[in-house]
Amino acid sequence: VDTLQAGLWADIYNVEQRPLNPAEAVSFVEAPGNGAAVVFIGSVRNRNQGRDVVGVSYDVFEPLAKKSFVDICEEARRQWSPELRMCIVHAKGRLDVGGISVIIAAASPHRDEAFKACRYAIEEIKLRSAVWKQEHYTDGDSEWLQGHALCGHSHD
Amino acid sequence: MKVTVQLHGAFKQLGDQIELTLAYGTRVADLQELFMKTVEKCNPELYKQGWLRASRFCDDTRILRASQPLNDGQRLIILPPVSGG
Repeated sequence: VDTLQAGLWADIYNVEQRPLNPAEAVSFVEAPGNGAAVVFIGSVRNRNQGRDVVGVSYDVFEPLAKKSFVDICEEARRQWSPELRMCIVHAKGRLDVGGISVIIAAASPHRDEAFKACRYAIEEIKLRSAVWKQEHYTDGDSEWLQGHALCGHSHD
Repeated sequence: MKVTVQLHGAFKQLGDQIELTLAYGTRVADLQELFMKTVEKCNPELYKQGWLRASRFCDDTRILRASQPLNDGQRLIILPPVSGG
């Protein structure tokens, strides 16, 4: 999968070595013809399902996760505008509360396409991308979160 | 024959990977059954959490069909339900 192509960048950063950088994502999607850029920044919350969270570890299967990011961007372009420029970068490794886990940037000539593409990308990542979250709590306990089962094979 | 399963998510509790010995001609669906039995034996607590039925197996590019036959020495990746973002 070509994860860095014209107008499309999909990446995974090991955040223990290199934090996610919103400015970098925005600068990738900017272009003279684009009058709108929308950025979604996902970060670690201090509370989830009634428990006090101190951090989250992200496990990623990179080949498939990157491929899903590229697929999602291409789908957004087909659906809304071939002129969309998009960037998806996801964290791998452990983050403390407030740490950035995902950045999605979308830019297009007009705002509507950029808003829709950005929203589409985050919702699809949650359903389709090979990423797993382990929460760490103030009491020292840790738990892998229940997520969305991938469709694809199994009972054919 | 032997296959290696790379572990992710909750299955990381068992290590980074697990090697399983299978009969020749084994398919992905059979591997899933054997994998479940293995987890039940070595980590009953994890087994009870019910991740396995909702998990899929893949290679580097795609999710594999249940009917797909496996090859000796093949490396697979188990994908439990995802929770990114």
